[in-house]
Amino acid sequence: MTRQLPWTVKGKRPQINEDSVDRLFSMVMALTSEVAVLRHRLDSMQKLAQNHGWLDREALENYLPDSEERREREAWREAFISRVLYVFEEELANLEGGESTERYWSKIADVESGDA
Amino acid sequence: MKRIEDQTNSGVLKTGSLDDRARQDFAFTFRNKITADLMPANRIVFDRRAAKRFERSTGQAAQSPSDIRKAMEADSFYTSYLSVRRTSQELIWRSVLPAVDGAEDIAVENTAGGTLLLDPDVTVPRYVDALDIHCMPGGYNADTGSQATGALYDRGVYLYMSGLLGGLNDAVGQLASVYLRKTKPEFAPQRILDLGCAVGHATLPYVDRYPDAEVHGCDVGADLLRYGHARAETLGKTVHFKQANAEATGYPDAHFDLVTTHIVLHETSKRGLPSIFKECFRLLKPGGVMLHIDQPGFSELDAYATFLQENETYYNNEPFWRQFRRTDMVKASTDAGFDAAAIKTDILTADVVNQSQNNGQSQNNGPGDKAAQAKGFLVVLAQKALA
Repeated sequence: MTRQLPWTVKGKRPQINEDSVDRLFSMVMALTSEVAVLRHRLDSMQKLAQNHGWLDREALENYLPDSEERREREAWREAFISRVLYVFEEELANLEGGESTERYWSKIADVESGDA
Repeated sequence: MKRIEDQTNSGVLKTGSLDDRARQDFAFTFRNKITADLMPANRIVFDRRAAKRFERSTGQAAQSPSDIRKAMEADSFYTSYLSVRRTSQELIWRSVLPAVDGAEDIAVENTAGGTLLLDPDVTVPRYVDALDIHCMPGGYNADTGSQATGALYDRGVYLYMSGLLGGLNDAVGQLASVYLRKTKPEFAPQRILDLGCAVGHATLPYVDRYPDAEVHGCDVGADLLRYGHARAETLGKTVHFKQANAEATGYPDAHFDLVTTHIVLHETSKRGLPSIFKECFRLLKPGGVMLHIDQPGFSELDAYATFLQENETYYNNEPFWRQFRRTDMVKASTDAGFDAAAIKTDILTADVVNQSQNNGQSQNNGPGDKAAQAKGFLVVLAQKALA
């Protein structure tokens, strides 16, 4: 799917803690989100499987994906890692958009002074 | 505080795949958890640690909002909270974007008979465009030629407000229109305009409250209006949407009986707000009513609450928020031409209000309750003189 909207935020991302710490908080929470997503999918599948008598636990433990499935999983993992590392995308967009803390506050000043 | 009920599917709502929905569920819970647990914990941090540290190092108590800010910025619990809070805001939008960006618009029959008038040459005020307000990627005025921004906003706002806006995100419109009906039971507007209507969350309740009225909404965002129009049609509400700047809408003089805004003014500017009030005055017929509902003024009695509220400007891309809350709405109304005697203000409280301000649950102990007054929504109601 082609992106038509920007996915990053216009306006300098505030530096709150030391830069790396801010990044780490964001990555940990994005990762936590992904763990929750996984848990919900697994839960949905287990409920369905139990309801329909589909789940063979031994077959599950011994399952090996074929090469096409391996490619699908690789693509999924790439997208997954992008989501966890989203905060770097924000920072790059700030850099590319010429955003700075000064510019953020000059926009606030324009709004507050009536220039905007 | 939250309301765990699914958002009502208006017919155009997009929530995406199983995983997208799980990400949205996470963003919902995460945002609420921060508001319910981490945010109030900062007060304990301030009282027991940060305020004492500030007093030791400066020899003075932290009393003003800026003192409190200095005291808190030196505390890593608070800075960690800020970082997590910012992340929660970004993850809300990122959980919705995959469901809406590039998705096919849902085709809708024009059964309710509402209209949509877009203007590609609309002047977008700089306060709308300078920053992506509340960190929504693309901002209000992104124009993808589709309904994408509207779908993003509809779902994102529901998650942000922890469901407290109701299944149709219409709690603010309900609050304001019920207040108007109660305050002016004899008032029967024939033509209504909602300025900065976005996707019409607060506009649609007026269709129900005043079934004989012709209801209009305008906004600068084309995506928002495409989505809003489709949404109103599927919900069977007749609304006429027009892409226009609230400062210069292009409607004739004295065209409306009622002109409203709902949590819009705090996203304008020092220049834009008076200009919108003047446009309201121009648009109203003699005897017509202007009604605004938005965040209240800061209470001078609660410096800590002011400090916490100002974070919206510091960390959440809300450029006008902190100054708006120091703006005199009555003066803005009289400056625009309304008689002082015809202006009424009130404070309304609701769960949704507390959530929008990151307040804990607050009680309203009546007209003398200063703390509650700083935590409700302010309504400004002004009637244009008859002659």
